[in-house]
Amino acid sequence: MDNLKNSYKKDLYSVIEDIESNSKVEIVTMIKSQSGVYRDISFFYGAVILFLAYSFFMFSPPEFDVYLIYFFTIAAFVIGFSIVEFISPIKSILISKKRKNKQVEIYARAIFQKAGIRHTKDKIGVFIYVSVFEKQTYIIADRGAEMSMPNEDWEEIKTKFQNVFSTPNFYQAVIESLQSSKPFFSKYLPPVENDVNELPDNLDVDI
Amino acid sequence: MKLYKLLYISVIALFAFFLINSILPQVTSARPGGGHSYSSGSSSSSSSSSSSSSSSGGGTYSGGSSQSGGGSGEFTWLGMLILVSIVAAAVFIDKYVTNRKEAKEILSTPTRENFRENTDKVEKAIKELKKIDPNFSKTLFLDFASSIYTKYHSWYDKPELKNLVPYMLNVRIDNNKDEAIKKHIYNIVIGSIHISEVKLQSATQGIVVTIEANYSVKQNNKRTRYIVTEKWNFFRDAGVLSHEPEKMRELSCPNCGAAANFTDAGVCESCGTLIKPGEMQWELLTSSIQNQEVFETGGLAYYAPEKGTGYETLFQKNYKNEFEVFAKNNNVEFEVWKNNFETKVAKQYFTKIYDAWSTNNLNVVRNLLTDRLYESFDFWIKNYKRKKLLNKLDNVKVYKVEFVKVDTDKFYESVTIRIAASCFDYVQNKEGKVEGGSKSIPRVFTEYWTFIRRSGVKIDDYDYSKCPNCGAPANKIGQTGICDYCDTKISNGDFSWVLSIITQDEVYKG
Repeated sequence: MDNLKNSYKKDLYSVIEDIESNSKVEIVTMIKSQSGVYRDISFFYGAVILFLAYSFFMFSPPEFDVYLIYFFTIAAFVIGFSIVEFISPIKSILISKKRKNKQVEIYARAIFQKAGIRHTKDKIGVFIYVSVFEKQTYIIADRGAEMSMPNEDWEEIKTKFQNVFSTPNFYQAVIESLQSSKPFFSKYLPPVENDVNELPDNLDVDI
Repeated sequence: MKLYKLLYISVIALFAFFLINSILPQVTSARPGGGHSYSSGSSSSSSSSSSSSSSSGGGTYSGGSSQSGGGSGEFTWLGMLILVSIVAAAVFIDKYVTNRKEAKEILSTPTRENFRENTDKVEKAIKELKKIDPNFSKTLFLDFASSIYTKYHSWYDKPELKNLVPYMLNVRIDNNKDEAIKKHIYNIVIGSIHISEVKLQSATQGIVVTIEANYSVKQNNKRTRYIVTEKWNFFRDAGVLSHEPEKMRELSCPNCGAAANFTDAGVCESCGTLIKPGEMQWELLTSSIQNQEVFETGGLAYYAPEKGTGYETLFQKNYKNEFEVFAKNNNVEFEVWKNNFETKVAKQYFTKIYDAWSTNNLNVVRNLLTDRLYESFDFWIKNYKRKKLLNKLDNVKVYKVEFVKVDTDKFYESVTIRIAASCFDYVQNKEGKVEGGSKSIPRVFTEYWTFIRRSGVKIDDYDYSKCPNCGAPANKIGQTGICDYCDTKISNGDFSWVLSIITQDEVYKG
């Protein structure tokens, strides 16, 4: 798995390097497993299952052993919590889209700030954030980059990245989306002579 | 697997087990061959017997009577199998989930392979540059860039800054008269400098250097020390040839060679020539700060785990051929030279420098270090002394020396080796109390050491306690690297090898 990840990172960096050598833009891409913890959802549904189990014991006609009630209700909570916490598709259904979108935006903006992507002289930093659990991509373009191209073209780039989740291999789709954005950056942010990468190689993204 | 996760899974497994035991005690208490003798009258629901003998099994929580057959409270084989299966399934799921999660956290920073490719590209471009400009020397260029960097910051608030006009496209002299706001930069120490990009175009040639440095800023009578990483972009007109070492090391008029003394417009006061940007010498086009943080001495006794010791050694492309060429140029048999260098230079320098560091006394090894490396070491030694700490490196042992890179040009040769060693590395205060590291557990580490020597010099090793030029004791070599006996600078590799750079594994890019 480490080799695959390393190989993918190498390809990802190479694509970005190619874009940057043909334009003025500075791109940082991050793919994260999830943007929020959402443990409260697991606790909530664990509590719901506990309540249901307890209600069952309270209102069912048969009598139950007191130890059975005691352990079963606790186990019900644990099982309910575990199902929601560890089974991603179930958790995803139970979290509202609005909350997921918000969490992705918050995390993306936090990384943009922490990594110092705004520290380019002409404000041409672009941060592409892909959050797998929430199935969302969020693109933050610094002022110079944002104003360099029409909004319509930005929306086209954003749509391409959002559609990565509808492909069977979204890792590859991220690379393809980056490649398809190259003509836009080359056109609207053409390379300048003696341009130098202003962002460091070892970005600090530890939040 | 993390401890808390294991605990969590165990708790779930136990609860699941007890749950099953509560509902279906005959399952968990069953013995092979059906030998369990549960009374058929006692149902598993236990509703009729909740008051009786619930403690008979000493551990079961069902109606109890179903346990009277006798394995009272034992976890039998089926029960154990269920328990183990639940734990195994949970561990498998956790590992599978964890692996999927880890694979999905990816940041588009360069991998070691990307760095390696870039290094190869840079080396190839430098080779091309040497064909166009046979005088080009990487060592001298980096000395030139260091000199510009240091002087720029030192003269930041001084009228002398005008002497950098021929070397910097946009020199902004700080004319701020308000002393409270005016910045005064001093104690500049360059930790590392390397070429990160080379651009050879038809009209111009460009070299980007990455500089890691630290310096103090005094502003409004307050002092702040910064650690910075900067990228400085130099360029010159295509066709310009590099100057001799003396002109590259000391800022001078690229036309007449006089010490740098220029007007605000860049006219040499000695020869009256207007030095236009990039026409006769490298010129700084742009600079950018990639990273900046305030330096705190609180971490002097902090030990981070060694990161790159297990990394594969990064060899220069075709390093064997390159070393053969080096040996041929020096009229030596490579294997013989290599063994001699390893034993009489690498290991000797290593142990002497580490011993000197250990006693906070770099003067005894001043003749073994370049100026830049000495200043870098001196900065740290002074900080340890200020905090009344001593970084001890005891029982230094060198295990392995690998020759990874050689670079030659008209003026200098450089050899890079990777050293694997160990020592007891710890920081102690003036009372002798250990504040960081360990006196008993050796620290195993590897580092890349780069030595430089003037081309044409054949001496590898010599008596390191003496000046390599005049043979006098090497006890009067000052901070400037000049022997007080013969008044000769010996720290620039003109007489034998000097240690130029030490690079940690995780940052070495080739």
